[in-house]
Amino acid sequence: VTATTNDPRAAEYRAAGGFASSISTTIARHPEWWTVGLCLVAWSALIASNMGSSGGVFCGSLHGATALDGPVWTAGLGEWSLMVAAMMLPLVIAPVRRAARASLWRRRHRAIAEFLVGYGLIWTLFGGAALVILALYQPTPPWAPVAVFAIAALWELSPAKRRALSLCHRTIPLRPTGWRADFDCLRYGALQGRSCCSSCWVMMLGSTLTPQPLLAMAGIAGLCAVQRYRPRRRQYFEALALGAGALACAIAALA
Amino acid sequence: MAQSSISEMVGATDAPVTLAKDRATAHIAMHPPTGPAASALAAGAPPRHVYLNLENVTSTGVPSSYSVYLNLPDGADPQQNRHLFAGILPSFGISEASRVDDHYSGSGINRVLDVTKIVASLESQGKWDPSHLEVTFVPRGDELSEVPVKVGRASLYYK
Repeated sequence: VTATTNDPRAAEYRAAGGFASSISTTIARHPEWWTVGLCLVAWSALIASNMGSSGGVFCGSLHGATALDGPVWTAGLGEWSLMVAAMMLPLVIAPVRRAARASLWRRRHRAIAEFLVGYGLIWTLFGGAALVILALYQPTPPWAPVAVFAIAALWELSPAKRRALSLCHRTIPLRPTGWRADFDCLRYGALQGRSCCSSCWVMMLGSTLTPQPLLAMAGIAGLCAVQRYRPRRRQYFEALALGAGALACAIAALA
Repeated sequence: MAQSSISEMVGATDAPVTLAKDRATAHIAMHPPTGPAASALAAGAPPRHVYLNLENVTSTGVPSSYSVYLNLPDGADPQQNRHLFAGILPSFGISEASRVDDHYSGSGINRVLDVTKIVASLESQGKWDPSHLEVTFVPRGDELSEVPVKVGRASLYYK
């Protein structure tokens, strides 16, 4: 089908081509798009699973369990992985994009996948350790979320937190080809995961313990995003917000 | 060509390069572009811009600055080859950016040099090898610093 310049369909065809071209250009320019997609899927799954009714991440899978057997591990780490994907992936969009753009064109999505595997591995190790510790103290004492949020507020004001936050912006050279390129992308993701874990570990623990996990996750994800993308010298706002979280948990425990 | 505005990495060094008082050369193995730069090349247009990225440049003290040349022959006098001069790798801020503190992640500095004209000149003279590039760092100044500088990676981008 051809359309002349004066044909009204011509503008329509050009518009359609322009739109398709615009979409493909945007996808090519932002190879990290599917990381954002993973995050949205994780939030959807968390909301759909109605985690709020289970009393918290891990707690649902640990409820009534007598031992840390296979189903408990699967359910607990599954919930944890969803939580990490929903809350933490928005924080690594910039390093994910860097991993892609620092790679050969044909390797861009592979580089992203390797980065995310390295990143997820660190958080999974941390989540596994948290699951073991929580299993030892079942049922969770009502004051536990109060204590964790209070520690999180103090942690925000510590020099160790500021250093960990600085390291979240770390980059490393990525070799271009072969297994070394794969290793570097995995290592880059693992280093980012370690920095993220060092920076946000108490807040993430707080999210697992609160009686309103979805609300806490949304709030904490927002706090993490603010401090990642709007870095300041002192995290007073975050400390105050987490202190308020501790207060809310205390009120809920007393009620 | 809408997509030609997207940059594409076509080659990078496979190991860091340490710079000291003598000149040093980094070798970049380049690969044929397969993304937007390939589309532009297939359409008969050369890459509009070529950039040399010097990434993760770190040092523990105050190092010398370096002049950066592309494909400078071994032993050649840099002053006689100014047409191969890509730019300067400055020493300012490197040591601060190499420390981990409240402000820096310790990743060092990154420097981007526009080498479009040099590449075009080499191509016109038939001296451009699309599979291999040498980047030579020549220390600047009369009193050279003993402090080494590490260039984590040198990479070439078409845009």
